[in-house]
Amino acid sequence: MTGPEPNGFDTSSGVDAGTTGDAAGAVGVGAPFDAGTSPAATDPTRGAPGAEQPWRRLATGMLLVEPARELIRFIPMLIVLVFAGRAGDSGPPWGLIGTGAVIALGISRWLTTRYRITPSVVEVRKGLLRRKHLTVPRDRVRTVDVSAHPLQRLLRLVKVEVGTGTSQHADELVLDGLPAAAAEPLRAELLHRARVAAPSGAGAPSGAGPSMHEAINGPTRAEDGPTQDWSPGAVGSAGGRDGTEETELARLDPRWIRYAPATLSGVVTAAFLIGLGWRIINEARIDPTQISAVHQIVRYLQGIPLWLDVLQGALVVIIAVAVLSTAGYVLSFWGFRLTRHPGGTLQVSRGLLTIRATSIEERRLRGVERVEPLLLRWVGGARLQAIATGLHRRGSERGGSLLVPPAPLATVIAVETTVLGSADPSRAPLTSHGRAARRRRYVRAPGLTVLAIAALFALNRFAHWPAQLVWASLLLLPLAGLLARDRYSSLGHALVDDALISRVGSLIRRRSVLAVPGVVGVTLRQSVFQRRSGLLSLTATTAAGSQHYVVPDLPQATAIDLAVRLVPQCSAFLPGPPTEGEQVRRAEADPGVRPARPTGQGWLAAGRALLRDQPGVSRLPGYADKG
Amino acid sequence: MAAPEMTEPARSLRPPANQVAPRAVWYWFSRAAAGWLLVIAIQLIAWSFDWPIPPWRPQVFVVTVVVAILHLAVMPRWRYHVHRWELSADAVYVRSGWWTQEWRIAPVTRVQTVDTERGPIGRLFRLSKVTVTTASAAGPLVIDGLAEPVALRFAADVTAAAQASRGDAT
Repeated sequence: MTGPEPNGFDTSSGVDAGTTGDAAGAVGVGAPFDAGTSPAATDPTRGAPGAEQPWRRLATGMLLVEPARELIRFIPMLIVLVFAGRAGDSGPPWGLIGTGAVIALGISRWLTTRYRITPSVVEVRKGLLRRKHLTVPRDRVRTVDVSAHPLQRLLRLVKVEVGTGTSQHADELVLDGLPAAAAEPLRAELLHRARVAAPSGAGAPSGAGPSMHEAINGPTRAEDGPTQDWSPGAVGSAGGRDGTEETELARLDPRWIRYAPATLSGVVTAAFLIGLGWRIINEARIDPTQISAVHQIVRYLQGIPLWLDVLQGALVVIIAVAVLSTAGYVLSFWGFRLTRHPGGTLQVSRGLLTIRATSIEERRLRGVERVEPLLLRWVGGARLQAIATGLHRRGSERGGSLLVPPAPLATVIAVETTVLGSADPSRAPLTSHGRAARRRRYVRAPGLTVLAIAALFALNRFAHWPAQLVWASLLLLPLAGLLARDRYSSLGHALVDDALISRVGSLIRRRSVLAVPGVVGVTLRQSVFQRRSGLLSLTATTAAGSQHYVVPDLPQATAIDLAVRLVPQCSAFLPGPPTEGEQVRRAEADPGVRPARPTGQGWLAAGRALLRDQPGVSRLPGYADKG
Repeated sequence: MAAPEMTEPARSLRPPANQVAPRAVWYWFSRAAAGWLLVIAIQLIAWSFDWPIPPWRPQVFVVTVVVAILHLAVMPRWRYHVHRWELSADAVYVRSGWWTQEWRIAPVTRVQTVDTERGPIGRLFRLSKVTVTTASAAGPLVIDGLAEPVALRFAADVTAAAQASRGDAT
């Protein structure tokens, strides 16, 4: 393990952030910082403390999982064979060979994968031909997600994914096939002891960066508890290390399922099923018109007027989507629980067949986002997502940042309040953006519709598209008007409790609450049209969630004011004493000018999250060599 | 065309202090011209091979040429007037764009990396593009068209400022 180790470490975190651009967005771990400390971080583990820790293996049960999955995968094929009435013609039994390979791979995975958790690092060794040795400092562990599909549940196995906040190697630190009994303690251990363990000696060098936050954050937490709590506050440090005493913030009420049809998630499932059906039909070379049921349906539809066809078709589609949506809801959210652990994490567990437990460190939480698709809004529902650093991409793909599934608005607001530690952001009245912004809404949605209609008209004239299309598209105009109205009434922002609240959209309305200390920059945008109406769009960029949150079409003065309040450094760029011809300041030449922070004393309180957001700061030393 | 100022409301941002190198106008011109030439070339090739694309090919061609000329006549100088940058004691401030303008501000404390790069056309004009990234994937500040020594000094300054700010942040 000596040779490849530093490499393993560097690729697991250093390279990530070094590739800037998108990877820098990955947040958690800083490249130059790592580059600076990695030898130091890995050394102690190679030395004394790691030595006693035994290397552990995956559970033997996992050997059964893969073959069983393969068998299940065969079932559709068997069905097709039965239906099509022809057994596999000839040729080599590729299926069998594939299965054999999968089983062999499974065995080799079991033989080659080992892991251990020392007081300072998590280490995984895997790979048969390409041996990999991954080392992650414990205090870099951001998320520990546990999931199990039905087969694994049958065998009491789980898959554990350890996330370090970088996106690229997210799938590297995966332990697929741990005994379920071992997983939960492992999770608690990894997440909650990370912070307690780091300052306590052994991992001193590796803890240099983050444990410094700890040193700072410890006292800070106690002091500034009252201002706001974006993070567990005093509970975190006081609550001890074992994540056993948890408080439940929300749990699935079966009545929530009535919101399922309004989510329209079934549309995707329906599309998938249609695709699958199509493939089966194609592969089995079935002619659909030969199936008597289909034949009869077609005959029936031909026998009745067109409008009845459309009506019935629509009805069937609606019912199918509703049923599928409900099924999907039950499958993914059954048993949903949102809990808060004293160690400072929120945990979401859910799932009917495949269960999934996702954790979000509260100190990485920068806010929440309430999402209300139009239909869901009509029936009084909403869902809630976390805005946290180190979760994006992977998180949004897998619903990892989900806090509350579609549920009554009141429930969502209640959870928001608990998570944010204050009721104000979720209930604050929003400032609307004024007449010019409204005019813009009414110009855009109907304007685009008019363009679309004109295009259809042109296609009708010159390319002989059916005229009915043009007439039907006229129906869109009133809809566009309604959309514009709703878009304007949704539009609003507020700055409450040191949080930027922005509500945008109509078909999918999002109301985001973003902690101001989590804002890493502002962008103001203005097109020529916006300039004419005196509007600016403000974007708060952040390392969390979707990376940027937009407040569109603000009156110019409001936008500037908001920008200054989000990033106080902007005030240097307000018109004032002319600084024409000002050259680049040599910062090193006048260190004295480097100011006390704008808000002086209050800075500690206000910037608490900023300190936690340390990556931006701590990774700087290393990049000097880039310049 | 003068840099469009924001004047009406009580509060506005002043333009950043520094402009990029004047030859950036020609840099942007060449870059855009290269793109337009490619589009026109594709059309000409399609024409000469008589691909059965649209029946109104000549009109499309004329429109392309007119738009290209307009774009090349307007964009580079407009962009030059808009594109300005400044490094204050504690923030980087960049204005960019032309039709749609952007003012981007990032506190130096939040700066993560400063990258300097030169593309083939940039090398021709001895101009660099500096990208200042923050922890957000959405918010890099890009200054395009800096003379090479200025770019290097700017990168060094941001680096130094960021390091200094790190000093007082911890």
